[in-house]
Amino acid sequence: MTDDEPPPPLEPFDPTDWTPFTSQSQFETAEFLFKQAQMSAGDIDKLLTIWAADAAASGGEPPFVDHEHLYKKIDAIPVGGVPWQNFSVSYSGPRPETNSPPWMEQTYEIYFRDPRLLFLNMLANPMFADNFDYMPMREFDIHGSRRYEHFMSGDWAWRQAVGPLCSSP
Amino acid sequence: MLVPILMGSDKTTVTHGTGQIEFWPLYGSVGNIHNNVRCTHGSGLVLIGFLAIPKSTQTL
Repeated sequence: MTDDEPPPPLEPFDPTDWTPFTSQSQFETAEFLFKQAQMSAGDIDKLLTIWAADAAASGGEPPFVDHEHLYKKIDAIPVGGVPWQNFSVSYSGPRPETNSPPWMEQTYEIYFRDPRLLFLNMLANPMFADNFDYMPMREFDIHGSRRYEHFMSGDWAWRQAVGPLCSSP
Repeated sequence: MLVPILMGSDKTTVTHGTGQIEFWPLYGSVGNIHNNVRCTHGSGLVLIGFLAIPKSTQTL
């Protein structure tokens, strides 16, 4: 995306498309078990086993095989579109000869999403269309007093536009 | 277009069942959207990631 390019148009919304769920009822089952009831994995498996036995009587199938199946479907939801990533970090500097603190020995796992993509999505979100500033501004009332309200009305934002940035290459 | 990036972070303790887990979430937003919509809707303030929480020892 270049500086002058408008945000990409939103994809047309199909109210019958429950992707990655196969149907409205499969989505609603997942939403109910995971979000509303917050059921444990073991209980989900138990419920689905009963459900499968009941459905089999009429030649049908339960909405999910087991809790893994349900979790995979939820993870496959494309909304937001910014996947989670992870990496591990550990200290690699000098250590004391004895009794080095635990944090120097430990490996830490960091989970994150690409901030640039997250912010691009935010800029493209039409929800903010009426509450959005494209450039810094200075607002004054009729008596000439400065009015501060949103971020772009502040001094920092103003300095970015009229200050050192203009003279840097 | 100027897009100011705002970030914030604070330790959060999540109590779930008997285990107590600490997270250090990192949040982000852009300075272009107005204050009144930044926090009222989830998409105006997004979760970027979880930072590591290295523990220091009290003994010297």
